[in-house]
Amino acid sequence: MLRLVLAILAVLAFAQGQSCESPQFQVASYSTRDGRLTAESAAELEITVKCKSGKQPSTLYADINGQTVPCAQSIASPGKYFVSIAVASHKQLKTGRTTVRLYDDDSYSAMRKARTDEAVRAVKPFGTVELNHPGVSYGPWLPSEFFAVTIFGAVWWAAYRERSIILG
Amino acid sequence: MIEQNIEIPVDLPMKFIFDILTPQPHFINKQAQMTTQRSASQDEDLLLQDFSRNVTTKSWILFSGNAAVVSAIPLWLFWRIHQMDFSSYFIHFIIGTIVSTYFLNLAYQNMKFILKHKIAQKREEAVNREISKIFANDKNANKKDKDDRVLTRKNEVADFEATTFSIFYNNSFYLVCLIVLSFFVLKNFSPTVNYLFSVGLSTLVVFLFSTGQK
Amino acid sequence: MFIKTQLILLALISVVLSQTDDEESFLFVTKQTVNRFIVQDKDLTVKYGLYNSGPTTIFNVNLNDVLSYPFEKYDILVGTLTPKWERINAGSNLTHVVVLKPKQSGISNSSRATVTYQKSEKNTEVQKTYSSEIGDVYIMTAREYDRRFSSHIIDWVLFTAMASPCIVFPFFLWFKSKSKYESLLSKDKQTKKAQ
Repeated sequence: MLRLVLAILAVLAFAQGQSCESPQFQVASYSTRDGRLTAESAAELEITVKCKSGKQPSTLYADINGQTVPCAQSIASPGKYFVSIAVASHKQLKTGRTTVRLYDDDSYSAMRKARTDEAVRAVKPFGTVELNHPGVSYGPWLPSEFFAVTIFGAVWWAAYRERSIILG
Repeated sequence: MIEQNIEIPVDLPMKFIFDILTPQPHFINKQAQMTTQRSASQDEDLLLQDFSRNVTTKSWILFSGNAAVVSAIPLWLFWRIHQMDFSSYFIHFIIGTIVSTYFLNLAYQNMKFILKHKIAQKREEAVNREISKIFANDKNANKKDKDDRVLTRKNEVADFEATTFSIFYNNSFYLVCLIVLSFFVLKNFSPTVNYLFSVGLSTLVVFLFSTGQK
Repeated sequence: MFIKTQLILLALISVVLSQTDDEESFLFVTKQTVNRFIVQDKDLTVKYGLYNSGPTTIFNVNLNDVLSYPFEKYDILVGTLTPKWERINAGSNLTHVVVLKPKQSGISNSSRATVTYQKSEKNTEVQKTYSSEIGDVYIMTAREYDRRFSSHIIDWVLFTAMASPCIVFPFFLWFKSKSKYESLLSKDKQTKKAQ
């Protein structure tokens, strides 16, 4: 019931021309890079939305891999929307580009109304942005002191063998 | 004369190094002149001296210099990788280097002493042949002269090989111990503890193992 | 027009009805860092988890953690320390991430974040809650981090270059003498066999 009401309200709002038309996105993204510094991965998108009409959408929802979360906003920086992703291990954060679909109130309620997957896909999102996660690096595969100790160890081993021969 | 038939023991640049490295300045040419006048007791004295633990000044300088260089080289690692500044860790570095120089010097001497006997035994035959070849052309030489020469030559060779091998072995052993202690065992300790313990323990290990027979 | 007002009324009733539940919504806020080490001039990622435990949606959620990370000590790289959400649905989770850069090293105390919210859209009574605390953290210097985690390949190469003469030179001298006398021995044996 509530959904229906919201939908109608949204439609009304749209009719009154309060929505944001042809929005432009400016994205600053961050994702965990250093696997030695951090134990878990986290990513964040800072999306600046510019609308032609100058009116900002009151709320944005982000759909990341099928999970929809409301975006945070800040009093300090209006017009910016923050999408945060945090996972329990580095492997759980997909590397490469991930498409994040953004929904405003209208499209979000339309999506919530949709029963089937096709219907969900049919809903036109407010916009799409991309998160590029290059992956977590753990530094060189083997630390250089390992190589050093191998080289010097091999020399010492050879010396030890020779010494055994001399003393034997 | 004998001298004319004698080959230079090792080729020229080697002879120069040999000159520096040999603790006793016995060279075959000089030796050959002296052997005739030498008595049996003198030979024994010489032998005793050569096989004793006492080292000559020349060899002591060689060992100390080598030990000092090997002790100083790891400072690079502590400076660059463990981020220890020379200005703030000056005292530590001085103490560490002196201690490790002293013990490495002892380790060189111990190992040289142990090795020299063994090497002398091993080289006996080869040296015998080498000298025999020289004496083969000389009909006048008596047996005592030849034995004398073999003994001295053997001593020289054993001394040289024991000295170089002792330096080679102890240097590589010291560096391995130091890297393992400093970068694996004591990796997460503070730089001061890391430096003092890795240097102290590795010199101790090298020193203790230098006296071992196996 | 008439239908619209009716519907709004209906919506309000439904909201009010849902408000009459015995159980109250409560917002739980956690604050954690994903960092293993906190290093000066390197990313410090702080993660806030908000969980609406109750049966109803809460509104106008404002988080404020400016006091924990004053701007003299921290730079904000990405995110905001004062996020707000219009609503958090009942039983749902929300994550907020802020990436900071500590300007100073040493012990730093980061206190808890303050969160205010309303239990309903109409109820203007502001609820206040606090997040969990990270407590005192040690911010290590970039130098210290470098000491432990940089690979120092060049330093090792130079070290090997400096150390190798000490090993190679005596080895070479010893080996030359050794091979000379051993070849002398084997040559003699060969000639004997030949005879």
